[in-house]
Amino acid sequence: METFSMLLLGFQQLLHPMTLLMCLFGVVIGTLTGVLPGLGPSAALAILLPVIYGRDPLTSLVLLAGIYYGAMYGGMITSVLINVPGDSAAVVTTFDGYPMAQQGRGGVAMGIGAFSSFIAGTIGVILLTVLAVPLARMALKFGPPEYFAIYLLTFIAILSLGGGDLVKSAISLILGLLVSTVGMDVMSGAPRLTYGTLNLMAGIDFLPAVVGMFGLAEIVRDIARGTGYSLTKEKSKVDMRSVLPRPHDLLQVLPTILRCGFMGFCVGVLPGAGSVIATFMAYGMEKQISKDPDSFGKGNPRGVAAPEAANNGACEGAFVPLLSLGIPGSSAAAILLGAFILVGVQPGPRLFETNPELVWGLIASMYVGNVMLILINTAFIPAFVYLLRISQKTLCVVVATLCVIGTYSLHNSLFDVFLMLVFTVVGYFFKELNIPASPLIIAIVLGGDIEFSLRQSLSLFKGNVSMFLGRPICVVIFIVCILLMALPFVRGRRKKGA
Amino acid sequence: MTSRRIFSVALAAAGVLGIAGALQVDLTARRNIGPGAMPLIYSCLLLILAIVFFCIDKGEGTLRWSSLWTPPARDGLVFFGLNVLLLVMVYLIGTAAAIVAFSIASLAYLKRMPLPRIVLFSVLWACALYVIFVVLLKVPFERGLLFGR
Repeated sequence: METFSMLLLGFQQLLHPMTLLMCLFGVVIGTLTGVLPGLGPSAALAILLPVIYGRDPLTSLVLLAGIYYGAMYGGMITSVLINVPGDSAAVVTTFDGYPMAQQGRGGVAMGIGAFSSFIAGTIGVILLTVLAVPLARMALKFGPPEYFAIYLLTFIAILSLGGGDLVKSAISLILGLLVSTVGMDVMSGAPRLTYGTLNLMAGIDFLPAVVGMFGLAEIVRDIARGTGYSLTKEKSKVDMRSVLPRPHDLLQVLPTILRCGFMGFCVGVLPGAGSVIATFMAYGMEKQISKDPDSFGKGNPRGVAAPEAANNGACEGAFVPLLSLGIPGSSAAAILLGAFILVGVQPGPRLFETNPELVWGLIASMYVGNVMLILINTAFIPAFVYLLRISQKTLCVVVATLCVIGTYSLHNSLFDVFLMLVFTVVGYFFKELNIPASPLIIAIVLGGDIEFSLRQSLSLFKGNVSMFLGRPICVVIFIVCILLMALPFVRGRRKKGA
Repeated sequence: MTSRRIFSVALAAAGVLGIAGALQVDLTARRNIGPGAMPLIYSCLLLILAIVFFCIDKGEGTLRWSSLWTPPARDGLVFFGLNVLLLVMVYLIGTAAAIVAFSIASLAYLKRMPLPRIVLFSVLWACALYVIFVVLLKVPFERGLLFGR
């Protein structure tokens, strides 16, 4: 009941015309971000982050959150039309979306994708509404040792749940942690790894890293590999009527949407797993339980509904640890954490007590944003497709200039732009070698916090490390850490056995 | 040399640089770790990971030194070079002029569009960015060294 009244308070906050406008603006930019290949939600959030500096916290966060979940809707448009996913979470949608478009059912595929995103997104927000407060209340009992344990769990989860090569994920994570130590030490004031450079005294902000690695590096790599996309006039013929799925089509995929939306949410809550893994898991699950698994990959509507529901569920799920614990589970969530700090709000267990209007306003905006998105993604798909067609030649220039100005405007510093270019080179190699970039970004954001909580804990324990074991919550988290560390080895053995 | 090995060497260099930097500050404090402890731990781990990454080369990465000078890899390199040049130009001639020059150079080299269209797009795009950032968002553009920075 209390949750419901707080949600009403959130809707009251949202009634301000400027907040609603920012919500609309956010979801439109988000959809655009998803539509344009080479520009993911992380890059768009990073580029727009400096824009919110000094502005009203609620409208700023509503705008950025709208971009985040809006991108999940837009990504499927290019997946279906030209077999090029708008962002990594839309890769799986190409498996059945593109064959459907080849069969002349591209409009139906996009309609099913939009409705799956809407239903799963709404399920995700409802679960977020119900779960966030109890988790935050539990986290109020946490002190520095418990926070250290939670951060450790986050990093280990990123390594073991990432699903890729363990060495590569570890490189990304450790590099990010090392970058986070650059600058003045918060406890002693001693400059670290600055090598006499004044510009490094304030540390390396995560923003140049995100813009370089997710924005510019993506464009440079596309050019270097000659992998552009080509959308002809014929291919881009989509009208509004063809995007609206028939009730029969929707009823057929509804169980898939509900299953995959819920599963996506659960995966999204876990740090490191994220929406990409959720989409692959959902697709695999649907294929496995289907009576006709051979039809998957040949234009099965459930093959479109499953990943689209999962990535939207996962996107909402990522807000649970972000709002309740102040811990981001993905690179985009890490940028949102940075956004909270930029507007002077510290996400975490006290957020629901100290800023109820803000946090409930943000949650309420997700309900409204999802409704806006379903309208935009059915009524304006032809407009997005047109924009995609005309932007083919100029996208690289648009993204590059936005990356430079966005980074510069953070501190009005050309040194930040220089750092962004350095991270572009790092990002290029990461993509070339299939090294995940998310652990690096999360490590840059949380690196200072884990070190600070460890040193605070050691001061509390007077240097006695074994006192961590006297805290029951820490012990439970450490056991989960050990189990998670064992997971990749168990997985490896199973693979060998098979 | 494969891109994997080039990257491993760069990582190892970062690790060594990190160790050297960490050793310049205190590693211990009273009943606690010092400011240099964590950078030292991370740098050592990075060095170890770089060596492992170098040794288990699976021949990943299509980039080779030799292929850098032929298209399309050369186009990527030139585009990145233009971005570096954009940074220098922002410093010298200011943001607005630098964006126009960068857009013209990039589109002429990469997309081979007709010059009048390129110029029109570049000027319009620079104006749009000026309106969004300077007028609406109050983010000042760099004026450049030559125009009284």
